[in-house]
Amino acid sequence: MSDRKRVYGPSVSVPPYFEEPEQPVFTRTRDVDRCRKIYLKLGWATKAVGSSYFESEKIKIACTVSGPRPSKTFAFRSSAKLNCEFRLSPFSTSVRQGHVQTVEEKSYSQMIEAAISPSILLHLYPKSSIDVYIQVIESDGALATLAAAISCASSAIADANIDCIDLVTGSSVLFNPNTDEYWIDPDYVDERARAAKGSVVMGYMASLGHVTQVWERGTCSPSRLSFLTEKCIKNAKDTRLVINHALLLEKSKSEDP
Amino acid sequence: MDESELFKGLMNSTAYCSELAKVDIPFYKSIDTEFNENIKSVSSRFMRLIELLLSKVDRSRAEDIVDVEDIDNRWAEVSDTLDILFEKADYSIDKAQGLLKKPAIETHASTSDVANKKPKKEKLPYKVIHAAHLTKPQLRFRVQPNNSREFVWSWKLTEKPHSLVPLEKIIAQVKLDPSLKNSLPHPYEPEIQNSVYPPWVSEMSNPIDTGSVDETEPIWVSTESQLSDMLKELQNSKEIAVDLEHHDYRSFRGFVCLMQISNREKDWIVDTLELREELEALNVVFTNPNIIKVFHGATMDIIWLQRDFGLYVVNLFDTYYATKVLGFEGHGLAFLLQKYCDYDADKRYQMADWRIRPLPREMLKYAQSDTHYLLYIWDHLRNELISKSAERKENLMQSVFNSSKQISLRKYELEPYDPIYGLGTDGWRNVLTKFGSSKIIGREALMIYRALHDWRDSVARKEDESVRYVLPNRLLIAIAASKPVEAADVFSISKQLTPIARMYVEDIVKVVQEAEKLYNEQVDREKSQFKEVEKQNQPLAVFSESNTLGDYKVDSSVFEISKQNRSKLKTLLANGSAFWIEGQSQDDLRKARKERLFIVNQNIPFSLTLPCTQGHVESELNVKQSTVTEAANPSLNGEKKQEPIVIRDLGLNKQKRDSSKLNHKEPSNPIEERNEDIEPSEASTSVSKKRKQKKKKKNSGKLTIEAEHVSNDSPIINEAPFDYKNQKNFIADLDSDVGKNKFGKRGFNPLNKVSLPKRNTRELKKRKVSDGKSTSY
Repeated sequence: MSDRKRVYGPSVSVPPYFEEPEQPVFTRTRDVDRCRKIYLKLGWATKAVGSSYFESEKIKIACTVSGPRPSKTFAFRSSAKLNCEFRLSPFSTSVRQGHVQTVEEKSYSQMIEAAISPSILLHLYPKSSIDVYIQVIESDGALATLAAAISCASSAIADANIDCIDLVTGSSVLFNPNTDEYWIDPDYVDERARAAKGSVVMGYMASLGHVTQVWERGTCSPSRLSFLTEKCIKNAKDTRLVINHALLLEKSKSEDP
Repeated sequence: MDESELFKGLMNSTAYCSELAKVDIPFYKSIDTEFNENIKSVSSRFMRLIELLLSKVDRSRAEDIVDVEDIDNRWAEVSDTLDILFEKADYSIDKAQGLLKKPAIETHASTSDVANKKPKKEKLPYKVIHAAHLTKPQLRFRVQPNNSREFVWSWKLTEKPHSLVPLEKIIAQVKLDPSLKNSLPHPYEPEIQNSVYPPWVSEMSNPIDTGSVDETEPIWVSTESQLSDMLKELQNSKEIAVDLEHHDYRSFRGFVCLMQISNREKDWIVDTLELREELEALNVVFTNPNIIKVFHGATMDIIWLQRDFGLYVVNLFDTYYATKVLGFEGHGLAFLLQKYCDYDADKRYQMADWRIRPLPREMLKYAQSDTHYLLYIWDHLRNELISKSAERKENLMQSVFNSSKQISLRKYELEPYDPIYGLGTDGWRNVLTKFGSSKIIGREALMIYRALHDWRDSVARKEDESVRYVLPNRLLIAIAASKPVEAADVFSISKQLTPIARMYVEDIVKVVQEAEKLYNEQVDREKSQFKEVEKQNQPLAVFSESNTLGDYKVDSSVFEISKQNRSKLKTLLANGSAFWIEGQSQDDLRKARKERLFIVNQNIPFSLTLPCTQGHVESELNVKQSTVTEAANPSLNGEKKQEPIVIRDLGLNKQKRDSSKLNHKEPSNPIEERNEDIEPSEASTSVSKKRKQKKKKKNSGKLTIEAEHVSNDSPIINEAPFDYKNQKNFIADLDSDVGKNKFGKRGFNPLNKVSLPKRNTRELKKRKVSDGKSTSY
């Protein structure tokens, strides 16, 4: 039987000719402190226990949660196992992705897992697993996509009515180690075009004021790092307002009829 | 009826078919007699169609297929039949389009060829792929290969025939500029850049057939006198085909084992192991711009020629680029041989160990076939390029030559070993990402791995073996991941440890231990550094003490619906999304969807009606009329006459069956006479009228669908194409007619899904696909 999942090109084809790629133009019109506007929708998937859709300009992420459900493994676990599956759609990046999950996607999955697991009360659900499926429909910058995926996953967990101590929101910042420049919520062009070699991505629980996970790249003095962390936290708090708003909206909808 | 309409109709009927659950059909049949009859007539017509189709292909298969279960049980036969039909249709279409052509050169399938075809799928015996016990031929080289990391490679050529810029000038230039020392310029760069292909190339010519490989014996060249003889003949040729066979498993840098050269008359096979130092003489031919050198996939060949013999190629034509420009579906030499010469090249020998001397006959033939047909292929490609150039109004020939120029300008450069960044094709970074990304985890493992990689490279250089031979990548990763403490640990990793790894097993353990030690030292150093930072008491995080160490303290500001928060939210919230429509709740959407479904259910028409078959007509027209149709369709009749059709007999109820049997006993009436009397279409229509009257008497409320079908039968009988467009839709009629039905005003609509009971899902799950039933259709 032929492979129906993939669409291969015709056997006879001529490659397209591209013009010389232009120098990237900075498209950022936002303030360095300002993040992109966010659209968040919860409970769109009827078959999943919880779901959320996160969109901020070009970033589009859909996330569904199933569980807590009985764990597939036989080994006894006193707390629930959180599984995150991060997937980039083939068309989500400027270079086409394959269908098989890449190493990069797997490492992203682990990062998201690490960022949101402190917020969930996993010990309340023994012998069960919570599966979070994150599908990136469109991405715009690796850092911002990761941060958005964290927020999206956490809001889906909330939508699934899984007990949490708080919600995690992600935020990202790009910085130049040699100068004082930094850019909150960098997009793809920022990442490619700026000579910046440093970045911070963070998961933050806004109401408790705890950082769940932080990834830093590039050399950075302690004072600079604390400054950037503060910027990240401010951004994460803002994102939290959006999640709260969406949750309230969803709650009122379910109570209305 | 054109294709798009047919497709649309097909789509519609498929959609409507799926509206009705299959399991519910018996229920409706029992509840509504009209529906029951409709279904019956449709399925009987299907059966007829299937039977007819099968009998056209294979009569024996069509026998005693009576009902649906028979088809299920004998699915293999049905699908076979369909396969045959599709196959035939494909073949006929190809034939009609003229795609089936005889190959240009008829190669006679010799006895050896037939013998070769059988073990095609088998792997070559290992001794042919790797002759392990061969003494290394590089030991006999007059100039020993230098494998050291510091070695600076320099050109091998001593003189420069057909030069525009003399060699001395380039040497002087290099001496002046020491930066060129590491990346020498291409000695023939000006000559290649300024080369123009001879004008006769761009003229159409008849391809010159060089005959089969078996007709010409290759000339083995292994002495200097033989080489000079060959050179003399090559100098008189206009074009030559060249190919190389290379070996790089039992040598660090690799060497060329064989060079095949063909002109129009002869095939030479040069033993480059013997003539390694003498072959530079070939530059007289290779750099002559008036002789076209045809290669296939010369990317590596060009580099090997430089490295081993100091040979350079001016006016190269790479047939690989020609296949690219012409947009062929295959780009390999095997594809071209298949396309133009109908020669099945045994590409297994590509991987063979070409150091073996004397060469076995099969390998010799393979080597010869690589270049033997290449000039003939070149003729074809040239003609095709010229004709396509005129079509596309661009010079494709020039573009192929330009691509080939870029290839012949490639330079051989040594790849330095990069211990720090691990760059290069065999560098540690490349190997790590390809094989070890899941096994080498953590800094310690990485350090061990890098040390082992370095060790492997140095051993390979020392022993003059390839890194693959010393320690395959897979093993390298496995050893690095398992951190062996003693020699036995290494042996336990793999049973197939390479001989070199066995020899150096103590070294491997030592390397691993040293890397571990180095890592521990580094960790200690970092720890002490970290402590110093702590001593300075610089806060790393922004949190105050109370926040990190104290009890959970909830910052409620994020929950408050304060003015500040609200204005902030305004700046953060997007107006809408590309995906979701705001203001429309899920329930609204669901409601709208339900309404649409209801409308669809209200008027389900069968957009595609079935053609009537002879069998159907027979059953419809009942007893008397069967003879008429038989007469009308004598071609079918001739076959059918002997055996009465079983389907109808069993399909009808008992009374009808009896009568039909009776009827079949007396088809003795002179058929031809009747045919003369009444035109077939007339006959059937008159019959239909009778039938109509009969039906009306029976049931005035019922529609006379069957009669309509009969009236439409006439074109079929006349063997004219069936008119789908004008066919009436019996289900649509059924819908429009429900008002008159006995079920009252609304009538009973069996296709109305809204009123359907829920499907019995359990029963659906139970059903299993019977064995042998393929689902590929």
